[in-house]
Amino acid sequence: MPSSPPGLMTITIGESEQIAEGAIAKAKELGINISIAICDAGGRLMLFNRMEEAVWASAQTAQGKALTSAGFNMSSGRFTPEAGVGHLRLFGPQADSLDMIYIKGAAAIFRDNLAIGSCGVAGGTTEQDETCARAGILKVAPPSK
Amino acid sequence: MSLTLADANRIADGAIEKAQGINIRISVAVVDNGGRLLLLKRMDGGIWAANWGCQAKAIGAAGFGAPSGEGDIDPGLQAALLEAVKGMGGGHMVMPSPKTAGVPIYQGNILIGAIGVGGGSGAEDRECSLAGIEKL
Repeated sequence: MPSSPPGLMTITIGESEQIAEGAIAKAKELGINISIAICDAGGRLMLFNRMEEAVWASAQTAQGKALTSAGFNMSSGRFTPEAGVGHLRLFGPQADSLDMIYIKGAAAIFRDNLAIGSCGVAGGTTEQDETCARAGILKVAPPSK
Repeated sequence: MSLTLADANRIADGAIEKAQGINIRISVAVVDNGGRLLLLKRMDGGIWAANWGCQAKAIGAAGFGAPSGEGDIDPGLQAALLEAVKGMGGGHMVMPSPKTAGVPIYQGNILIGAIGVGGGSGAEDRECSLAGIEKL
């Protein structure tokens, strides 16, 4: 099997699979059907899964949330006026694209304090989505903000 | 009738196994019969641009059932037709030659989804797609 370039600080496909499995297990527990998108630190898709009963519109939403999380290394739901980081949203469209979605349901993934990717979920309520994303991430990495 | 996520995983893993066998790094996309993404995997170290190619091929295959270029339609007419359809599809489809295209997935006579692979040469990508479907 071709190995990753040496020193590549990024999420692996193996880790991505574990995260997706964890998120899906949590979704089943909650009785919801979700899409999961896992990006590398550059916001590029590494793995995508849609539970077959999940609506297809959740596919784009999960990716949009993951993109936001990867771009800012934090939950996609933190961009509220109360959080004091609302101004960062202004940079979103300039930094990457209008594909970013600023609602709860995604979190960044860290390894040794370095952001290596993000996981975004859509299909349930935003609270449920974030719960699933974080449950997945916990399989391979510590909780993040 | 449609593909399950478990089916999609088996198919994708089959394609990746083939890619490892021929020493390339691919992205593989599996879509449902509506051309909507069900699964995408990018191998470690795989280029991210392959994510677009594999999805476009899968969507093209889901939309048309068979890869373009098959059948006895006039090539000029077909080229024009494909251009038109591509535009209507929002530029999301890729319909290359049968040797490089995505591959539709059937259950009996019913189209249930499609697979697309990107990252290798067109022929290698197609080989991986076919290897993936064999796992179903």
